[in-house]
Amino acid sequence: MVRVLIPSGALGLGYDRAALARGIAMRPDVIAIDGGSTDSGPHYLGTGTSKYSRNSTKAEWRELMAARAEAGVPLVIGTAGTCGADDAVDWLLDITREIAAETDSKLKIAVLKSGQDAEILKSALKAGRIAPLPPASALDPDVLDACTNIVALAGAEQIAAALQTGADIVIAGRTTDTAIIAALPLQRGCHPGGAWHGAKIGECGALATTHPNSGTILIDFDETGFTMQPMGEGVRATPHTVSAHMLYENSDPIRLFEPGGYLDVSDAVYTACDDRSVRVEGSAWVPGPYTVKLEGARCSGFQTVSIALIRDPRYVANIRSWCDDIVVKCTAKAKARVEGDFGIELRIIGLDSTLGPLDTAAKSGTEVGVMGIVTAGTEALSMEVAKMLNPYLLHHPLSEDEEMPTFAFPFSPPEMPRGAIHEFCLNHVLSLDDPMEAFHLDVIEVGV
Amino acid sequence: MSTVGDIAHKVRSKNAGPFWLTVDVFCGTRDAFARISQGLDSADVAAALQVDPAVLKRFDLANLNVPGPYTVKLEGARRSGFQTVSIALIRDPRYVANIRSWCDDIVVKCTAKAKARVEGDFGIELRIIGLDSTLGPLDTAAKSGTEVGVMGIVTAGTQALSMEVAKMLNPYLLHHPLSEDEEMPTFAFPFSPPEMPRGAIHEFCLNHILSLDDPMEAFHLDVIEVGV
Repeated sequence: MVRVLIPSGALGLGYDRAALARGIAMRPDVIAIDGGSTDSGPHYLGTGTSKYSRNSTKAEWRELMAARAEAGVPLVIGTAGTCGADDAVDWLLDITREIAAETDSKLKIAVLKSGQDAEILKSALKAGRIAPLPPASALDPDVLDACTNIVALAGAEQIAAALQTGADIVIAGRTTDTAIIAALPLQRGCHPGGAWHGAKIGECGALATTHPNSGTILIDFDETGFTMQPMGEGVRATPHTVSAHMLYENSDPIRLFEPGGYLDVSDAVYTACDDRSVRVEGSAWVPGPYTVKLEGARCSGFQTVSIALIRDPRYVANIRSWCDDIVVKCTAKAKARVEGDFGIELRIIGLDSTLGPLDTAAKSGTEVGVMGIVTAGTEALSMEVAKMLNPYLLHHPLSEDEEMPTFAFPFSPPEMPRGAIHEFCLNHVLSLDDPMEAFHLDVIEVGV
Repeated sequence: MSTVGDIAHKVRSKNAGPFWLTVDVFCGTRDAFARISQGLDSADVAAALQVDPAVLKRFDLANLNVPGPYTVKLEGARRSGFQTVSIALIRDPRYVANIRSWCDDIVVKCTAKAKARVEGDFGIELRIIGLDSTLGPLDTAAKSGTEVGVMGIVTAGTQALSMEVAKMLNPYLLHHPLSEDEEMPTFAFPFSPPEMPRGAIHEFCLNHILSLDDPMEAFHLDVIEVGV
């Protein structure tokens, strides 16, 4: 049997301290936690930075490092620093070194990097080793050059290689959410379908329980399946909460693709062991070609945001036509005065800024905020056009026959530079002969 | 009872520099001037604006006088911190109905967390766009519609600290539940990252006059010829 402790769905999201302590007392074989996701958008991969505050990350990572030392087992983090780019891995490695120095700890750290070189990928593309996943189409090599960061999602094999170094801590770049949990059970010969299925159920921590914020869960893997139990006081896992998580953020409710095959849960059976833990058996692992998914992000422009607040009832009632008129007039004026492409979008906060025209029952109250978003090819042009938008947001009248109105800016200047914006531009898989071929593993000793 | 607006020709308001707000009441007739100057209680004006009556200045003017020595007004600005702004959009009717207490809870919890994790002073303010972000508590008839925007403003002594605390605010704006006994909600960020650095913010810090013997004494005049 292999016992995996999952402190929470992601480092930086927080968890119940008592639940983690209870988990450590259960003597796990490994502690595994996810460090990222693409959910927060392409900015983080594009810039190789973390979404979460460095101090929050350090505070939680320090607690997990202390829990690891107490348990005397490896601590594994996948997709370090939100995006798992090499710079984000180095960022977490720096934090780890700081904590080790502050706590006078002697540690062996395995660092797995997932960053990909565009030139090598262009050769692989030529050799027919890169294939699109729906809805992407065939890859243009220029796209690879445009990416500011490209990562490949490591699977269980690369995590197992990192664990085999005897490391106390594994800091991995981009991995699949499941790989960090499935690696040790697979390595020790547990049921492969059960290993991947349990890893999928556990990848968001206590999200598969009655109390998602409690964070910590424990999964026992064996020869025929897995058993999941939450560590929080009064927290329950039921066949309902556990099976629901197989559907969570999966494009296919039955099959989950991983490097080297896929999980098929068609015949999986979820059984309540008692009123707080669940046993699952019958999941199948179907081996296939060894491919890893690629993620890449590139810069797609620069943005400046301005906000004006409107309370005049006649303007609130006619806010859509007011905004439309401003976009037409300001676009025409800016086109006459600047070189280069730009776009002006006005969103009405307090009406339908979340869903736009999809919100068919939107109704405003006594106030709306108008958020102007100016996108252009350079930061300077985006700011220049936003400055042309400024007097419209402050003073534009509904008609020519009325006194000039003045609205409220929440602060001055209203223009806030968002800097470079990014877009995801890869949705492809890369074929590998050897799982380690596209990854880089280093072992670092600190405090020796 | 008549309002000032009923009696006067026009009422207008404007800031008079950074520190004062003027409310000009143009009476139009001597009769209106008499009714307003005698009938309008300064204490009521102070109460409506929620200001200390002691700082309210009132001038009942029938005509204007413009004398005095030669002085020029001084204006100065200094840096007063760094700001980062984040926006989340909320449509869930239960959250919209309880948006004030949701925001208050976040400010308390996030401030406590950040105080434990960073060095240095900072402030977190949440404004509710679509309710009363313009006037705050002065807006006694504020009513929200089906959506509100919550704008977080983090002010600190450095841009790095302001951004760091704004990043701690991020998961609260995205996922904070109204109670512990409900599924974790997820709200909308209009863009990612939601954090927008406003950079250094400034405050006016002079409201003084300088006496001059010669009007040019404090000024510098240059002439440049171009195209010659």
